[in-house]
Amino acid sequence: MSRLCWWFVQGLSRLLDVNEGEAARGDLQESGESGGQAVVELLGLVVRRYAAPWMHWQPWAAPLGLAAPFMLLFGGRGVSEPWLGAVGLQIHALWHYKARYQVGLPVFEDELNIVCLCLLLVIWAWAGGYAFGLLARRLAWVHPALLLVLFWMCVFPIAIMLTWGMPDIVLSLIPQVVFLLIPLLIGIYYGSRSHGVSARRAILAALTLAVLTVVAQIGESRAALALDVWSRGESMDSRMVWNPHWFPFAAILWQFGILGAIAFWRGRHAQLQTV
Amino acid sequence: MLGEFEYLLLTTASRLGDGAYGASIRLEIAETTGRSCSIGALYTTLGRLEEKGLVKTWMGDPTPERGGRPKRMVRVTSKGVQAATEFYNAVTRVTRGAAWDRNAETTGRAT
Repeated sequence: MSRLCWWFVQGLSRLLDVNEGEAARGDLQESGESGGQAVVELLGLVVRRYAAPWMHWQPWAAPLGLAAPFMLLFGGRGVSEPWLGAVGLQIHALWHYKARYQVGLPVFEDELNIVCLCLLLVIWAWAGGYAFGLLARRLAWVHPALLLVLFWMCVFPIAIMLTWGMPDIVLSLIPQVVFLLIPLLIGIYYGSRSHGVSARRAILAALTLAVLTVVAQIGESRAALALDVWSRGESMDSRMVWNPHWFPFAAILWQFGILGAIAFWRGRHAQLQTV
Repeated sequence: MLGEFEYLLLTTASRLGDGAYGASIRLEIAETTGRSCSIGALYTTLGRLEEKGLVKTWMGDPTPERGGRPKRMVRVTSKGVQAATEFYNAVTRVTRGAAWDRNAETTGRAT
């Protein structure tokens, strides 16, 4: 029993800063605490450490960092074009028919569209994770908002499994994991350790996203036109069409507005502390 | 202005001098006040005092009785001494004339 308790103490100490965990375990051992008492003591410290940041506004505001990316990525039509669905469709077609899903656009244009969509997914997921990590800091990995997002990501393939079948879960998981989950977690990792981005980098990232969004929207518009032209039995020309959806651009402003606000607040806070 | 437990911790660390670290502070507080001091309260308060610049902490050497784990050593800074002095003077001033202060005086005279 005592051994089990001390094993539990070791696990609990990993939730703390390395030095603090080691020092606390050493103190408990030196004081001759029983295993059970040591668990209670260390649990108290862990709870206090994890509860303390909730006294500040940042962890409460952290979901704002995830709001725009996840409205974009899961919003569907009316909010934005379903980018994840478009990438998933290509993977589905490649797996089942050993061919790409084509709508009559030139091959180069088709491939450019897919690359654009993949980059958009990666950058948006990363930016969301970064802003979230920047605000939630050490709470990021246990924040209810992240757990909710991960739950949603699990529910999505389960829903597909119920309607489509087993191989399609794996297929739907590929874009989810590669283009969303991994960049999101990397973004959180870097965000939670960072002090913010410089204005120049934020503007550069926002411009990159805006350009990619325009290219993707032109691609979507031309794909819709190609389908229309094909259904009339005509061949596609090189006409430039763009049916803009404004939500992604509003989302860019929102996301980089948040990053800018955090950088401004951190700078001001540091200034006040030096005064 | 310090909190009561903050003052207790500063005073204990100051009394222990070079021997002030987590376990010794806990033991000293328990012996002098008769109240047990949890690791959680101790470390979170130490963190707060360090943020305020009232104490300085660093990792000491590991010892066998601690299973080879290092101690978190504590030293009260000059700012900490000043804060504790202010707290002590304020408590002494505010206690003057209180019932328990008169009792203490009476007891003092009697002995």
